[in-house]
Amino acid sequence: MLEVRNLSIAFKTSAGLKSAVRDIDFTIRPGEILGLVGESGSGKTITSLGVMGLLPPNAVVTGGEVLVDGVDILKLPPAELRKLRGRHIAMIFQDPMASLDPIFTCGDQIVEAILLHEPIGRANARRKARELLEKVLIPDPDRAMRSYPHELSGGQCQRIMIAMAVACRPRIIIADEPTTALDVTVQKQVLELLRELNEEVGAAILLITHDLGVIYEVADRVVVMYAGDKMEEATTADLFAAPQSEYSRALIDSMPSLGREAERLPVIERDSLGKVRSVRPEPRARPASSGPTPAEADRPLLEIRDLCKSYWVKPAPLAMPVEMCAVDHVSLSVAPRTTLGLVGESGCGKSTLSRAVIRLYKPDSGQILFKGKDIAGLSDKEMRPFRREIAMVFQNPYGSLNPRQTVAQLVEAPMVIFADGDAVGRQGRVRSLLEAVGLPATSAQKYPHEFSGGQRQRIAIARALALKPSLVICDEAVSALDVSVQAQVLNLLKDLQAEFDLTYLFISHDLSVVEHVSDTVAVMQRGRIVEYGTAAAIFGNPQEAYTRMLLDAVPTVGLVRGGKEAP
Amino acid sequence: MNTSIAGALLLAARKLLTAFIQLLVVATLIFSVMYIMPGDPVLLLLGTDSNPSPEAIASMRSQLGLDQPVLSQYFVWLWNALHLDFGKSLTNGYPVANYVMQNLPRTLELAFAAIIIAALIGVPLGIAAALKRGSMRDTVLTSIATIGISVPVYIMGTLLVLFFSLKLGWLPASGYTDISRNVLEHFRKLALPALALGFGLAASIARMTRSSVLEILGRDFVRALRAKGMSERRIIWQHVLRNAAIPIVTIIGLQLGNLMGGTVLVEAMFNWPGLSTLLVGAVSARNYPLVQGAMLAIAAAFILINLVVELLYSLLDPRIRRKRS
Repeated sequence: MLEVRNLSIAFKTSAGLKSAVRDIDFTIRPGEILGLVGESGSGKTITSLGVMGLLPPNAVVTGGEVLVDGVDILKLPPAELRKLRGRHIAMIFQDPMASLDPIFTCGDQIVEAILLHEPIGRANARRKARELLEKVLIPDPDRAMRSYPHELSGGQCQRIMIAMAVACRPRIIIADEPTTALDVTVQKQVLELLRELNEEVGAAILLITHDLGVIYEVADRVVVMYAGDKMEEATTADLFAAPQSEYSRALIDSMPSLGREAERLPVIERDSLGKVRSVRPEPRARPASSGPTPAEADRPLLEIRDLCKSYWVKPAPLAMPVEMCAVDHVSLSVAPRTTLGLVGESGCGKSTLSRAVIRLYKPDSGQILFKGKDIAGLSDKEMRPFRREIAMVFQNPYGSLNPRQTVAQLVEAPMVIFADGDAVGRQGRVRSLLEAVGLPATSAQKYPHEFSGGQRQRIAIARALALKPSLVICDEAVSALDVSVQAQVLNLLKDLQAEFDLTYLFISHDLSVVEHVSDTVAVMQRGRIVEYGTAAAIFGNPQEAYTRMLLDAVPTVGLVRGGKEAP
Repeated sequence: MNTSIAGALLLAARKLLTAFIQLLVVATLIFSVMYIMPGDPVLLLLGTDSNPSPEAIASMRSQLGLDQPVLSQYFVWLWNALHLDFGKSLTNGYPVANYVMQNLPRTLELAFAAIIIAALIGVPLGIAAALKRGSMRDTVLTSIATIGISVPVYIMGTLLVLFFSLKLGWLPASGYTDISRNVLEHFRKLALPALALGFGLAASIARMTRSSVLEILGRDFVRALRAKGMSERRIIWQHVLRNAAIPIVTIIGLQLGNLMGGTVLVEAMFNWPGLSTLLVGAVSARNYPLVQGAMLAIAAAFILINLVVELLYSLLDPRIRRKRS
């Protein structure tokens, strides 16, 4: 039905054509779900845009064919191609909120999509749009019809996008990372919806994702891409049971997976010949450290008692503001040199909590005991010595590094602020920090844009360690990274914990990552800690329904799920 | 839906209140400036060379209410101003309000004419440049816009007069004819000052439109619309332009407000009897009540125009309409 033959796409650059995708071929059969998996930069999105004829102006098809029912759509005139889009091939994008026009109601946008290909009149189109919204199981379809995108949640917006995509009963739906921006529980619902529609409408789905768990849950067959090349094509069962290519094996290995004990994650390396392989790096030898005194080890480094922080929000323009408890009587403690994993879905208050600990926000009530001293009520000036002790690593390594500063300046900045040592001493420390995070000494004089996402996160970590903190707060520190890069950074964090006697407050929405790094785990829901205990206890024997629901929603490789047989 | 209408009304009421407070602050500033300014209006009025007697000065003072305490002067003035009574002109005793009411519409007319010309030229040029980004057309249009911004209004005015009235003889070089007397002549005389003012504005509106349209074209939802199978033309007209309109309306509104005080040069050059002309005359004659009245009128027009623009946003952008302000 859709056949991609030897498709090659290149980007136009000032240095000539730079190849992005080389000789890709795959076929989608009616009614099947084909997964296209790869890391960022592997060319999976550009391939899908090529199939839709929607390449950005700086990209060109340099060879190959895209056959829809035997017709090469790359040779079709624009008007013909447009008739195909939305009618035969529909697309669902990664960021549902941004993919809807903010100034039209969702209802109008679905109606518009219907009328583009089926001139059935506005009233009929509205009725049909409402039926579609019921079909995608949106709560309160009438309200959704007249809502603007910003009035709905991300999951609801994605349902609107899906309703729009299936409006004209297309035969192929291309879904580009349709659940990446969503919470796990919402992701589960959206994936189930896609599966159901796939069976009901009979549309074939090309599912593009970086998440092997998602592929495992819903795809029938998989194409694995790496750096613009197709590495492997196999049925899902075969891929996970016996991956044929080295890369697929390495990719599957480097994924921290629920219920799989692994001290260190294997990482993907490329040798001098360009061959990829999976390597399980050895932990670095721990340098001689004085070690904790027994008294120190007993006392928690950070103890939070009954902490509250709320915001005042107005539910409607005329309503009285109501109190929204972002952090609601939270109590936690973290022992020195351990990691507390804090998990929860978006909006649960985990970031507010972390920002209260570092005192970016002043808590409303409660205590934050750091090394036994309450820092909750300190003034900015009194807080200053504690800022040396607590460091933070943020989610977005692109946004958190000043693009105009060299790496050396970035890493040195905290030491300059605290007037720590002389210029020569600081330079030496920058060098040793870069070495500790695994960056070459030559990187000191470079600027952030010269580094990849994973390397930037290493720079951010080096900066966090500049003042020898005892507590490091990692707020979704690996969420923006690819699986293999994520594995490297997680390994690094573990090494550094041993080397620098660090305590981590590790915040993440990703349960498998949290399980991998944490000693103790706290599960947060609507501002409250619903379950708190050792990692083994929480993941092995969750007590709360919410924890079980979260765990259940994680697409996991290797377990029997969704009625599918384990490979 | 009721909450959204109520929300819009509440928003409007709040903006109205803010505008009123702004106006009050401006009025206070105007009063204080006039009070602090050197020179005694009484001496000016009586004539410095005649060497007036202290009795004459005292009687003039009480006649003008200048013997009252400053605060009471201020409140009396404010109270009167609220009733559109700005006092009497010191030179001939006519009510200042009459002057203001006569000249304000002329300045407003000039400003609106200029902004309409600017929008009619600027918006299409900006769109045309954005749609062919990086092309020859874009480069040429952007360069013209840059030149348009850099040319001062008096140079542009001179060039227009040289070309359209002296060389071609199509339009009168300056002057004003009341619309009640001769409609055609009125607009013929409006044309050149409005064009002179409008050209520079057209350039900045064109640039704003270009960057605004480009920004929207890069959004994810435009790609999603293409994937729906919508034609490029419809995407531009129905979606991109409506989204791009918000910053464009902002800049048009701001420019219109600035024009209220910015017409000085053009009014002087084309002999257009507007508020600025009135104000300049009043300042050189130390006609304090007239200066205060004219300044307050300009400030009020500026604040009012900005108010209208802000209310326009909420029509254009549902996110502003429905969210708490």
